[in-house]
Amino acid sequence: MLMNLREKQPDFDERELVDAARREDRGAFKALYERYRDRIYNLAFYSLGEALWAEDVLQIVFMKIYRGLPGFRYEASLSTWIYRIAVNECQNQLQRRGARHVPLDAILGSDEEFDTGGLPDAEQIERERRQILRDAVMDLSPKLRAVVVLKYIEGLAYDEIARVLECAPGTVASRLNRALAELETRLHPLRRIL
Amino acid sequence: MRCWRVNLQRNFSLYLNGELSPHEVKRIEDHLLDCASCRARFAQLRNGHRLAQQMPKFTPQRDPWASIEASLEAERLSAQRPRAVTQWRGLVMKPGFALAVIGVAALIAAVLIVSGKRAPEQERGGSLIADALDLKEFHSVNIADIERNMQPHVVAEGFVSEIRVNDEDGDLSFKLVDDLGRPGPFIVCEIIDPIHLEPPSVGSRVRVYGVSRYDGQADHNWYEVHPVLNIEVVRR
Repeated sequence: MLMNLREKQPDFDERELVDAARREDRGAFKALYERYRDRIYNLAFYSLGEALWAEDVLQIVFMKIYRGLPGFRYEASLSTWIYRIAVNECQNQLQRRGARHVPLDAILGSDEEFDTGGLPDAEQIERERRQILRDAVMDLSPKLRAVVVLKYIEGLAYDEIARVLECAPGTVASRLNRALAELETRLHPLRRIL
Repeated sequence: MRCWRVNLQRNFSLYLNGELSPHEVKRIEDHLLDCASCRARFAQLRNGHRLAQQMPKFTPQRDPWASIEASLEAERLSAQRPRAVTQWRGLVMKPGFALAVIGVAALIAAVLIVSGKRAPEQERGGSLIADALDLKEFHSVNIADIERNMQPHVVAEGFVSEIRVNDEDGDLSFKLVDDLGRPGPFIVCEIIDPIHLEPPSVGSRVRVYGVSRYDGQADHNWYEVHPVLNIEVVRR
């Protein structure tokens, strides 16, 4: 199996940012935030299924990262550690809220739902295609969804996914196989447009 | 017939993501040439892989940095205030804390009771997957003759001399021998993650069903049943 370079060669620039953030350098912490914001947001969005909820979790995760930095010892890479905090927080949120959260958009209708008549066909088709793919991923169980997002959105290696999810690499491979098979089964009838 | 080379199938998604060594790639490609069942499964996963590669990425509509910074500042200011000794006292006084203590005590008691009684399914040994297997299709081999075996699906009977857990992947393996008292030929039997099997106990006599293979790694060079598909306990 290929080595994950991020694990073997710590990013020195990132290490400097971590050290500075530990010394309460707010600018350094903001630089780390900007580096990981979209990655964590995507993970949260796919885990929770709602934009506003994902933004709330993004905030909570970075508060936890800031509080945890003094104790972070590079036993795992920074990205593994951050993803682990994010995955755990998403799981906590889902357990705590229990029933599915109903966002305001679902009641009032989101901007996306209004007046799409003016969109060019290609753009509208692309939007619908993205929506179909997103819905298919959201229909996967949380465990399968997590590996798919960490692999295909975050681009992590299998070993790193295993470290984030604290399971064996073989489990990651099995779950990914199941997830890909389920995606294919769900989207098979739509294969001509996808 | 369904192919039981689970360890190869498990690597299909790694293959699609280019995370296998050239040797492992070749093993999969060689196997796909010969196995229609795996080819069909692989084609399904390749389509799933293509779809997953198109998953859309999102960006937050509202950047929460301002809120994060405000919260950090509030924490910093509160940390500068003298810490109240009453924090713990306040916690102990809360009814929730007392309930949590009672809950933990009850949980410990339940674990102790449950660990004293093993479930009947575990006593029987065997696995749920056994129901899906036609055990008659497994070729019976003696431990001493395994190196002459050419059949992929085998059943071997012997004593369990030791059990080990693989540090890398957490999989569990045990050594099957003819005689517990003397060194001699053996087969390493590996239970892998997707197949949930109760491991046999050391000293028991068991019949092991699975896929035969040779492990040629430098420090191994032994014959294996990998993955183990079913275990029948002959004598405890």
